[in-house]
Amino acid sequence: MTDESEIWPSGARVGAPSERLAPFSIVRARLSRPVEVLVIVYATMIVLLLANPKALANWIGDLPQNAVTEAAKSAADEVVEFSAKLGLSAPYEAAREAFLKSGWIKRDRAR
Amino acid sequence: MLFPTIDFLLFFAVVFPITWSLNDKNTLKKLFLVVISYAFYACWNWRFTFLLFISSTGNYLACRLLSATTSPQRRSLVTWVAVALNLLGLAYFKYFDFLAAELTNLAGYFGLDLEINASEVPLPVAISFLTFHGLSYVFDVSRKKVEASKSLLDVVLYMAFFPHLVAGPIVRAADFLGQLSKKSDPEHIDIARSFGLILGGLVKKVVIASHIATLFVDPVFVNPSDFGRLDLILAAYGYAIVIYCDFSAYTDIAIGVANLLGYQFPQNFNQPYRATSLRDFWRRWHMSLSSWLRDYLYIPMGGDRGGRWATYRNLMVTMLLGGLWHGAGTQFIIWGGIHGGWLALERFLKETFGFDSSKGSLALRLLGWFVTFQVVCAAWIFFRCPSSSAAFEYFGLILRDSGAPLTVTPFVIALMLLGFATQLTRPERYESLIRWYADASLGMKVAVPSLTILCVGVFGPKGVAPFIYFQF
Repeated sequence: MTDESEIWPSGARVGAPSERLAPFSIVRARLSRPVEVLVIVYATMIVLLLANPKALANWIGDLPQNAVTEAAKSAADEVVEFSAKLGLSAPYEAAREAFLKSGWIKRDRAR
Repeated sequence: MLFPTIDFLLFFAVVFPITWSLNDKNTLKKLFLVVISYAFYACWNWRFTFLLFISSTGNYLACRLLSATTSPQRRSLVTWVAVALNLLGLAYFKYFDFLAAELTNLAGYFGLDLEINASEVPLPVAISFLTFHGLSYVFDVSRKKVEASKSLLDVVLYMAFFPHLVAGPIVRAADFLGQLSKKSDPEHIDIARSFGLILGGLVKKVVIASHIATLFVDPVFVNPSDFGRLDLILAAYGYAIVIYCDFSAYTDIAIGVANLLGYQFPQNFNQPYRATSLRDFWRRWHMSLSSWLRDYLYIPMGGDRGGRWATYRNLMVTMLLGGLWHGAGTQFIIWGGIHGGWLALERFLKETFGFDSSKGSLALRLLGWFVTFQVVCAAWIFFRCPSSSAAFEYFGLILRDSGAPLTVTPFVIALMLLGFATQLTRPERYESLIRWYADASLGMKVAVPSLTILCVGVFGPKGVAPFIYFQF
C-alpha cells in the first residue's frame, strides 16, 4: 500500500523534545521533566478541585458507601463549602448553568 | 476505566510518580506497570485478565521456540500454529455467533434443520488489538525482524501496557520491546506535545464527538425513517466527524500518556479527511492498522509483485479482511469491499491513464478530495448501521426523501464545522502552539490544562460514552 516512510512520518516514532528553556526561568531550570509533569498534574487537580468541587463530591457519592468514602465525602463537602465561601466555584457553575439553559443540547429542537 | 473521567485522572496521578520513582529499578518498574495495566483491564471484566495472560505467555513461548529452532520447516510450523491459536481465540469470542447464524441460514436455504447455539460469551474488550499485538510479535520474530524476548515480563507488558491495551495504536514489538530493555530517559518526555495530545483528545471526545453523536447522529441512525433527506445526509457527514474525533481522541490520549510515562508510540492519525485519494486516506487514517495490514497481509499475499490483477485482488482481500476485523457482520465486509474496490479502481486509473488525484493541479486535487470524502462517508454508513440491510435502507431513504422537517440544530452544525476544522488547520499551527506551551511559564502550563478541562466540563454532556473502538 505505502512504504514505511510514508506511514511513519519522520519524528513521529520517537518523541523529539520540542521544549527549550525559557529565558530567566529559575523554576524551569531546576525541575526535571517528570517533576515538572507532576507539578502540572497536581496543580491542575487542585485548580479543578477549587473551581468545580462538586465534581469530586458527586464522584465520591457514586462510590459504594463505607467508612473511607464517608470520610472522603465529608472532606469533599467541606471543600465545596470552602470554595463557595471564597466564590471560586461561582464562575464554573454560572457558565455551566448558562450552557444548560441555552437549549443548545436539547434534542430535535425543530420538532 | 475511560480516559476522560475522574477515575483515570486519579489513577494517572498515582501511577505517574510511582513509575518514575522506579525508573532506576527497571524490572520493578515493568512489574509495577504490568500490575496496574492488569488492574486497568480488570475494570471491565477481571475474568478476561486470564485471557490476556494466557495470550501473552503463549506468544512468549512460541517466540522462544522460534528462536531455538533453526530448521525452516519447523519455524514455519511453529509460526502457523501460533498464528492459528491467536486467531482461534479471536474467532471464538468475536465471530462464533456470526458464523453460527450464517451457517444456520445457509442450512435453512438448502432445507436442512441445523441448530447451533450462540456462545453467549461476552466479547472481551480489546480482543482484536490483543490479537494484533500477538500476531505482530510472532511474525516479526519469525521473520527475524526482532529477537525473541528472553523476558516474559517484557512480553506481558508489551501486550498489556494500559495506554494502548484497549484501542491502540497498534505498537510493533520491534518498536516497543527495545524501549523496555533499559530505563526510560526523562529527556524524552515531550511535555508540550503530550499535554497537547491529551487535552486535544478530551475536547474531541467529550465536546465534539459526544454531542454530535447523542444530539443528532445516533437518533438519525436508530430511526432513519423519521428523518428527511437532508438530515440523513448530514448525519452521515456527522458520523464521519464523530468516529474521527472519538477514535483519534483515544489514540492521541494514549500516545500522550505513554510519552509522559517515558514510552514512545507511533502516530495514528494525520488529518485523514484532507486526503485527496483513498490511498492517501489510508496513509492518514488509523496508520498503525493500515501499516499492519500492509506488512502482515498485503505484502505476504504478493502485494503488487504479481501483476496488475493480482494486485487488485490483494488490495480487495486485504480490505475485506480489514472490514471483517472490525466486526462480525456483512455491513463491515461491505465497508471493506468499498475501500478495497475503490483502492483497486484508483490503481487501475493510475496504471492505465496515469490519473492520480493526489498529484496534479489544485483543481484536480480538490476534485480528488471531494470524491474521496464522499466515498469515505458513504462507506461509513455501512460501518455505522447495525446491518447491511439497514444500510441499504438508509441509502433508499436518502433517495426517496420522506419530507420530514430538518432537525439538525445550529449547535450540532457548529460542532461539525469545528470537528472538520481540525482537518483543515495547517500542521504548522499545531506546532507553533506546542512551541508556545513548551516555552510558557510553569503557571501558564498549569492554567492551560485547568482552563481546558473546565471548558470541557462546561460544554460537555453529563457522563461520557465509551469510545467507539472499544467494541472492536
